[in-house]
Amino acid sequence: MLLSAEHLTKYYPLRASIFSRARACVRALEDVSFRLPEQHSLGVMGESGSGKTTLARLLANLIAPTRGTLSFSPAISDRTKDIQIISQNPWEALDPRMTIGQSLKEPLIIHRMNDIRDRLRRSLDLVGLDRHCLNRLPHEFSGGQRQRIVIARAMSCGPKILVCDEPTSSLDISVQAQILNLLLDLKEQQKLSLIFITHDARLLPVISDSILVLHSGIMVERGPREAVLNKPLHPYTRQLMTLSKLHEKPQAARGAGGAGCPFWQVCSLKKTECSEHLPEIVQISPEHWVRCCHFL
Amino acid sequence: MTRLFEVRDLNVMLPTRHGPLAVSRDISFSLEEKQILGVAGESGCGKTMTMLALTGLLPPGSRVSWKKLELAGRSCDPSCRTDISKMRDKGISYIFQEPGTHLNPLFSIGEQLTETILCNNRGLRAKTARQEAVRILENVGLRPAGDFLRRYPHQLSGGMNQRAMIGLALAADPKLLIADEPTTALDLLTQRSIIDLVLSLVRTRGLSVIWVSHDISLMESFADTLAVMYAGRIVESGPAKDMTRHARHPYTRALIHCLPERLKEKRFQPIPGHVPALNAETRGCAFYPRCPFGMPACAQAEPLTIETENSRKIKCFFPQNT
Repeated sequence: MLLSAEHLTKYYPLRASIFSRARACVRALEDVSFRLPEQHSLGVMGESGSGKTTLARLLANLIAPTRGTLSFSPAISDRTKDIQIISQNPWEALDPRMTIGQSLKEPLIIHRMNDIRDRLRRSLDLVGLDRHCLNRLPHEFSGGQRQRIVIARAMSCGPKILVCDEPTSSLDISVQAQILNLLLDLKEQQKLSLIFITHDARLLPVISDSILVLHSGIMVERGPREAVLNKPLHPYTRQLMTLSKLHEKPQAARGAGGAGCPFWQVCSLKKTECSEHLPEIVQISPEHWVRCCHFL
Repeated sequence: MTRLFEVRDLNVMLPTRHGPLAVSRDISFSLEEKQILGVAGESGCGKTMTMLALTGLLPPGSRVSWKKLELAGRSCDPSCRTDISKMRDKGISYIFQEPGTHLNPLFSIGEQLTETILCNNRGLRAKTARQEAVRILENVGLRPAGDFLRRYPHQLSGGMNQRAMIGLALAADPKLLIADEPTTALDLLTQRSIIDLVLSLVRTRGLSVIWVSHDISLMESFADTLAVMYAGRIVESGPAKDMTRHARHPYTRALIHCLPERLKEKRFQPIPGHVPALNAETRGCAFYPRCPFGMPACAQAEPLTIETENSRKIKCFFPQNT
């Protein structure tokens, strides 16, 4: 196992001002556990507000978990180097005042890498950009090219895990196909593991080997790709899967927070106890887990 | 069915440092009442510019010309500068791609709505305008409306902001709604709910809609007709279902093939190459350099638009058969 996450939980404190005490918390992520083997890609699926980005930031060590642990195999010696993140918005990920060359060099200098030049050239080759772009500024590039530059920067220190936080949601459909193909190629050639976060279930059959579904920060289902896509167990996952076939009309969606199951208000299978407490997560088959009272 | 909107041979030139750029060429289409037209194409194909031109919202200095531009029987004079804005005021509303950047952050939703209502109905009393604003907010599904009137754009989520924006568009009581990628920044569930909202407005208020998006399979599910744009031109148009099932222009086919559900050997199929720069002057078909079916003749002259059976229009020398 390259990485294993146990009961990852993140609460954000709510304060009236930065000097006052936290009066309440926002539950961004609650009890998420998974393992990531080598050369594996985990698709994380959920709506906006489901805690997808919080999970990405926890994995990339940008924030610390409130509870729970992340443990790594010895292959990952330096988290900041071996886990790289690709953010959603390539317009904000690059400093507008730095040339592409400067942006790409920065992580290499921070991690005290030698042969910076070689690494730069190799990472540009990986993403299919040519060397002339090094002296140019981010505004001279299109969205797809910028996302390539961000990927080149992430790849330059030779990471083991790439956390992709909706890398294509702001790109148009042909560019999306190019970037996804690039990520798939990188995964195969560079023996990378991917954590691919998305709200578009249509991408999951290709990009992910296993799938984790989040709803309001709670992991509702996790399992191998075929099982989750073809035989989803949790009612919420079922609804997401029908939604990806755009011609079918979904039922009213979304539930509200509270102590119970996050989906109980709109769930077609709800029982009375669903509103009162969160069901424990249940193992259905060796790799398939679901959090729903019907499987207890 | 009565014809609501018709445009024939619309051309748009934008001023730039390197001289004028043609961003839309010979755009012609028409729209019936209560119909939805979907406009598809990659970024940089001139979709937004065409829509802005139709509403007179282009930057000053741009040159727009047309042979015919008609909304609900009232035609617009190309020589008069303000005629197109008058037409817009009378019946066209616009929804922008990013509601967060197009709503004014300094005013509450209620203030923005009542302002729009008062602008469109001179002499209306503030109290009546406020009641109208409440009605509109309930119409677009922001309930309790009184609560939303007081909120500011930063307090709302992307989907709610888009609803507020649709509310603003409705405040002008339009006949035609132009929605420019209204759901691109939203997740799938929110996207579906916005589409359902617009569809219900089409049914209840008799709106016609021009929906711009790059996701052709999304639009197939609700549009009546589709038009595919490439390099500032409409390359194929026709009834939505027929177009996506039997796409005949190579570009339409390529657009459909790069959708995530069309896979080949476990890889997505992007369209090779790039959208041509607007200043690239080509003699032949603009899609020729990227076209898998291109012939030498394609590089020589621009194909004319041919009309085939069941009101399909194709701008290609060698339309593909399915």
